[in-house]
Amino acid sequence: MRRPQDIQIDIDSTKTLFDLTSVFEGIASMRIMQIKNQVQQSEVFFDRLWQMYSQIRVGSVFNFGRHELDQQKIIDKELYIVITAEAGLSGYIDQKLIGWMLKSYNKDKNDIIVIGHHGAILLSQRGVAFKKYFKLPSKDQNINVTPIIKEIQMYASTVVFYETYVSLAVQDVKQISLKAAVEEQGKDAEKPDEIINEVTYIFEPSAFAVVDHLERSMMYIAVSQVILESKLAQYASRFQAMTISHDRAADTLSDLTLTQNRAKRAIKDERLKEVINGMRKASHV
Amino acid sequence: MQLNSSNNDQEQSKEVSNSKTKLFHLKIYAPFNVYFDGEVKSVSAVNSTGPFDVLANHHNFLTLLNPCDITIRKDGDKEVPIIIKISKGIMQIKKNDVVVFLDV
Repeated sequence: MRRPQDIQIDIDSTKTLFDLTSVFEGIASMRIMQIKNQVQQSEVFFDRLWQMYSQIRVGSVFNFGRHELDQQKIIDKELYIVITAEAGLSGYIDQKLIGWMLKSYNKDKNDIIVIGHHGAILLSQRGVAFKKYFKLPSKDQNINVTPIIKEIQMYASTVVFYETYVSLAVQDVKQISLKAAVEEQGKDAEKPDEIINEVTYIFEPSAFAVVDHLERSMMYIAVSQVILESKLAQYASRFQAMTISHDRAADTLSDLTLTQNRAKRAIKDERLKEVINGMRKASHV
Repeated sequence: MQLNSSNNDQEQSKEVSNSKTKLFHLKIYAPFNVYFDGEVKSVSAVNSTGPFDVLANHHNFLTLLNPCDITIRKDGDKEVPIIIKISKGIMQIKKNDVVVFLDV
């Protein structure tokens, strides 16, 4: 049997692990709340923009804000954007996401842009080439997605693969066409009560420039929202991992304490036996 | 007494002039932040045509803003104007309600 002093060393290190997992669990939970609030705020902002956009635009074609771009230069391929974790903490869900994306991937019809280092590693391991890699933004506010928007504008269409937050215990993977993502968000906005045109409004520099800018802005928000939702799922995944580790640390701590008490008791029993044996021998003499 | 009464008159006339100053509602916000939300006397910004000011009862207006300082003057001449530095934005003026969308 191990000595109680040796077991105490294990108890101390398990206690540290127990405290650390508790702290990480708290941080992940706090981040989840923050991101949820941000997503809500951003939705209000988006609704107001969408309302304005639907009051101005003529026709139903969402043109990705590229009226000024040369239509000939648009690449006739579908762009795949995959959003994964920066590190390998949410490993399983990233693998599921990459595997799912590759099922429909055809190198002649699709180009891939990866957001998150872990996704880039997973694709390289499978020998799949990607066009560009962007680091997953470490901050949760004012995410600069301009370089991604520029890439999106160059392609005929775009599909985003990302992780979604279902609940603290459940995260899933999802794919969405960016055009559908923008229109989906606009669905909840109040229906416009009036039409904005050059008779009722003054436009500067022009109505076309404003519509173009609004389309880019809404894409900007939609991409930021998808990144935020991915991060939310990753934080939830970490929260879950920390909760499991915390519970395991608590169980280990309890087992170790029990083993240490038994070891202490065994030593005491041993000493008691020695004393009794000694007394017996002394009484015979 | 006379001095007091003239002071009172001045205050009353000031109150009358303040009540005559027309105010309008201004909201300046970005997807994750509200920078200003309240009643103001005027707001100034810069677009591709140049600097411009907005007062109450402005015509409906939709413009893209250039990088500039948005200057907000609330009611009362002695108040120091509020200045918000922006990189880009969209301003919509609709029936005395001005909304500035930033960071988009």
